[in-house]
Amino acid sequence: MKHSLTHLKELEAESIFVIRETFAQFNKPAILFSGGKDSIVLTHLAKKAFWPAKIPFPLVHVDTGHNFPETIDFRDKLVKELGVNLVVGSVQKSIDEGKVAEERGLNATRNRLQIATLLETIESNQYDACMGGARRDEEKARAKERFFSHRDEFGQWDPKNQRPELWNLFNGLKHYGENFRIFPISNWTEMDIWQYILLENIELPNLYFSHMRKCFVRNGTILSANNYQELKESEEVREMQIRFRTMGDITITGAVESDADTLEKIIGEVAAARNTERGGRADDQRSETAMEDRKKEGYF
Amino acid sequence: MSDKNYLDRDLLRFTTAGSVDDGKSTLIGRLLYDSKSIFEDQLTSVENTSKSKGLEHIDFSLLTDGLKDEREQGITIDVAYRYFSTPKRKFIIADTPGHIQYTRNMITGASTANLALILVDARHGVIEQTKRHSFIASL
Repeated sequence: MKHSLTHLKELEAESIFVIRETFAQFNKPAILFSGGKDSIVLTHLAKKAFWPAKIPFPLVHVDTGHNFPETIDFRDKLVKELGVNLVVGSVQKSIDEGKVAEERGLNATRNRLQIATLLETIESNQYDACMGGARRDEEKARAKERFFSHRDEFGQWDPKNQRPELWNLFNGLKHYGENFRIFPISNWTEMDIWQYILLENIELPNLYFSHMRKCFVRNGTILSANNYQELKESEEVREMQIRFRTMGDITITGAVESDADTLEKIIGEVAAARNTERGGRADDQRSETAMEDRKKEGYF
Repeated sequence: MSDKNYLDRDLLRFTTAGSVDDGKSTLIGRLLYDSKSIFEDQLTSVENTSKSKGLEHIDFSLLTDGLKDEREQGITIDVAYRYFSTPKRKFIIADTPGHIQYTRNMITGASTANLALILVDARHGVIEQTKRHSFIASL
């Protein structure tokens, strides 16, 4: 009889292999934890990879200071449950220290400022491998990135000079000061993530489920009302029934109007969706190559 | 319902191979388009870029050629991964570059694939790079 794995089990096995390979090859790995569903799934996979031991590396959160309060509550709860260390890099602190300057104007966000804080956190803690929950189906520049993605001593990605990555051999050789970004769930799609969450019964922040929230609409994107953004004259805050498809900084994460309040309903909605999940992300809409440009500077 | 049978779906990884400009990226773009795995915002973005390049048709290769240099020069430099699924199977496609200088990137894509589609331009026939790619794919 032929034995075969389902696609979810095969993806899970691949990711766990990459996580263990990372732990074997590097001195000081870490998980970049944003509080979004992808990093929650990544953390879950890391838990499985080392169970019954605890996850042998810390979670690193780059905190823009413009968070959904729910994200932070969820993060703290998860860290406590897993018994892992949490390291927070604060963008506010970088601003206060004068290392980066806040963007001005109505569309100002702290998205780009995260780069400096992220690189500083990596350097000061001497992490040599940072695992992230980025997926190749999210964005066209990410579709090009390797599992083991090399960063030079300035944290930059060189998309035209990526290393070969054959079969299941991962090359983690590096010079002093260089580091790697590692993407164990590269081959997952949004649908795989949701199906896996359902299959494994993984807990998520309630932001992902339909709820009532005070929102306003800017450039066709539904944003949550917050204390960090000023409204234009034409904009008004309304109560809407929404949920979020991705999770980032509160000022850039677009919501969708939805009544999907269970995982099954969300999967149905994802299957019928006609727009990409990052379509609601203001950070990607700045230019056609916004992601590639940020990645070259050292973004996640 | 499609969410009922997700537990018994298997996975196929495949790649394209063949020489420069034989239409590897375009084939995949077309495949994604016809299987309706392209989202509206991606399609609009590709349409706009095609128009600004002065093309009358949609240039499907822009769907997989995601890097700035690739889009400017109209070539594939590094392997791109795209995904689509049917009720029976999930597919991972590796779209590989045809240039001889980027053969190492092609190998990266080919190493994890279970199946290779080799494209040949009928006007040029089987040329050196077609043979090279076929050999690598046979390893």
